Amino acid sequence: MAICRSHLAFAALLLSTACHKPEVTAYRVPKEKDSDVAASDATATPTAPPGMAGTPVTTAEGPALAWTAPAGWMAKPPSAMRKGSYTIPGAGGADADFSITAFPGDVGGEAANVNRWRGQVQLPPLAESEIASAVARVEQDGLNFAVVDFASTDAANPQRILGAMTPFAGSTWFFKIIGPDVVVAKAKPAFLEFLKTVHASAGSDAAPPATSAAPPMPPVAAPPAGMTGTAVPTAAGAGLTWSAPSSWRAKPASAMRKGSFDVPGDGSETGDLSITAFPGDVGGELANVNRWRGQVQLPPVAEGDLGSVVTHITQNNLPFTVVDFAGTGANAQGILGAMVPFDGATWFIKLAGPAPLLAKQKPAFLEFLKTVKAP
Amino acid sequence: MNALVRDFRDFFVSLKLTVVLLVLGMLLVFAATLDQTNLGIWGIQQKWFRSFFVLQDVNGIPVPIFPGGYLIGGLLFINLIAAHIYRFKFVWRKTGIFLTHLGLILLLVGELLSGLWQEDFQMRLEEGQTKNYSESYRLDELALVDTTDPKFDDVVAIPEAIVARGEPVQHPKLPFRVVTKLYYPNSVAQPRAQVANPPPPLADQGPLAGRFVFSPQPVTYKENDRNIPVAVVELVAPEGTLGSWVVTTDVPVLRTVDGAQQLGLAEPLPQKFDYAGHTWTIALRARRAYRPFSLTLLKFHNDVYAGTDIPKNYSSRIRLTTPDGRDDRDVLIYMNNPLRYAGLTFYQASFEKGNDHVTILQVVRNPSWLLPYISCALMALGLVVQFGIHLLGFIRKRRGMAAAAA
Repeated sequence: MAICRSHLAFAALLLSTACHKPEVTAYRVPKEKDSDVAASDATATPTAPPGMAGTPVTTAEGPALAWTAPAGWMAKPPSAMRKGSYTIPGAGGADADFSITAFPGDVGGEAANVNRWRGQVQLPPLAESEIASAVARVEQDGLNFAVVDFASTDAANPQRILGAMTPFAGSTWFFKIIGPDVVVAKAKPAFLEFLKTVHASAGSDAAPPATSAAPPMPPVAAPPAGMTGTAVPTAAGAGLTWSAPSSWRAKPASAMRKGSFDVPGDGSETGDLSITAFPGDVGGELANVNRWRGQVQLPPVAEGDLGSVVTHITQNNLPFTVVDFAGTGANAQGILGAMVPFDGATWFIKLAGPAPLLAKQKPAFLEFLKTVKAP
Repeated sequence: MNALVRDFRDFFVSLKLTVVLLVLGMLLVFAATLDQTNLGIWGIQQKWFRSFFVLQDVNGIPVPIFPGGYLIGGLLFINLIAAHIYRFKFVWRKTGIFLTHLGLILLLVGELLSGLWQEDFQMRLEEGQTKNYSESYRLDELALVDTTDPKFDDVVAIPEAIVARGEPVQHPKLPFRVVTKLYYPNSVAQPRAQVANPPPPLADQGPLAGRFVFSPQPVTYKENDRNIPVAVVELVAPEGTLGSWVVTTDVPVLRTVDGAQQLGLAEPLPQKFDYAGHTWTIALRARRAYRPFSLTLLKFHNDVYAGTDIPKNYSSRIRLTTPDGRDDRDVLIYMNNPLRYAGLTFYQASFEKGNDHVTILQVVRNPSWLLPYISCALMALGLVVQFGIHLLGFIRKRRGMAAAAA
């Protein structure tokens, strides 16, 4: 039996050395030098399914603005996202962050941006009608600044945001100070003075802003890969067409939505039908099915089980993947969804709402899918 | 020797076993190569080669479907040794075969030791940046750092595996207990406002608290996919709870660009809090291994073939320094020319697309890295010796025949 035993001993040796036991470790290291990577928005808000990440945000190119910053503000190296970046020192290391960014177009319009800033200091969004009273107008050198000043209501850690935005040469420029309430409030007079120094950069058409007073501005290193906020381009090109049942109430489509409907139920409850499209396969069928499952708090399914939760329907030559997910619990929500690849993009048709409403609307939803066709 | 023991011995000594094991080995490599499309290289190594049995999930129960690399390799090893003890008799004209077999044994042992000892890390350096640590590709840790001291950080690192177990952690260096309230090895986050019936928020501290709903996702083993672990961690001091934090390796970020809310992921900033006059940070990050020396990236070169994006040559000029000043020198790392220092090997592994100022080095600790070289040399030597012996014999025989004919 000697050999058998030695074999067992050998196996046991392998097994015992193969198991590394994880342990809590403690150690002291010298402080790392802050690399000062701008991250004012990194703590901002929500996320995408992993498949959606990857495309960088286009910042505005072309004619630029120039400015002169107060002496007390410390310039930080600008990043790919930032045209300018400063630290406004406060007492006891509580600094505020001043960023200057620019993006093409109107970036969603004034109201959307005002409400985005409000969100950054945990304030609820304002209605369109209330925006006007929250915004101060400053005209300076042909630039029309919309200036806002919002303080958070969080007593423990009061934050304040002081912002100005102005359209300039087809882009929108944003000047934003965010930080502890006291620091930002103190910086306000200097900020308003600062705005007076902002002007179109001398002469240049496409040169990055660079004046004697402003720090060098051209985008330096790209931000760490996959790290900055990533834009989700919606699919362009020819779209699908459809005709909705008359009982569904059309809502205005948004930048993200190709189509948008309220689907009324028996009572006051309504379901929300959205039609969106994104280039590519958007992470694939499994990722999107699991994303929808997650939205109604269902556990994800493995690839092998995908077949049991989806139905494939081909109509008008469009191969739809149809799902019907209902959450559990008293107030269960559900999703009736369909996705279809078309013209290099993936189209998503999603009806979300209370599960009983969805059960009732399912025939109408399936009828609706029959009306979806290529133009 | 009784009959049973002899049967055992004969089984392990037999040439049939060798042939069967070699065939199984070939099948193993073939099947694992096919499976690589599902799991990626790291996944199949763990599943097919660094295991005694290949386990396949059948309705949630792991079922052994094939002998694993350790079993086949281990049996081959025993088979070869046993054959040398009981079957082969050492004679001088078989020196070459013995040397070759010795090389083969060393190769098997070397692979086993690599599997057990090898550690893989990476180091991402921007030009001008200095680092004295490398980061794990796959393992994460919950880092609680006391940043009060202006010169030093006191770090307590809790491996993700311990966080995952959910048992409270009480460490002598921590003035509070660390309790995992929720842990997903892979997750996807959604803005709370966009979720129809969100569960109540588990965390109440830090910028992420209450803004997202995290849903579990299946763990991925694919090479180009990343798991995004998320945990909600509560810190409990003797006088009561300090609150709960959401920690994740990739922070969800929402931006409004062109009027659309766009979602992305960002590198997390450590979340700060104060307790008992000390400032702490809490973060879930790639597991770090600190080294007694530091590397600074001086210059990264990335040449491509003209008119294409195909890398031709990439290299990193690095300054290597030790705190005691014993070493302070420049090193050039490029493909097939790694830096070997203090038991570690730094290979030029990758770069960041679209960023010419960042290098990514692969950092490998493998104490048995020399064994494959030694074993290959032994095998080559053995083959040369064996062939030489035959050649000499052949020449001698021909001379003898020529002499006889004359």
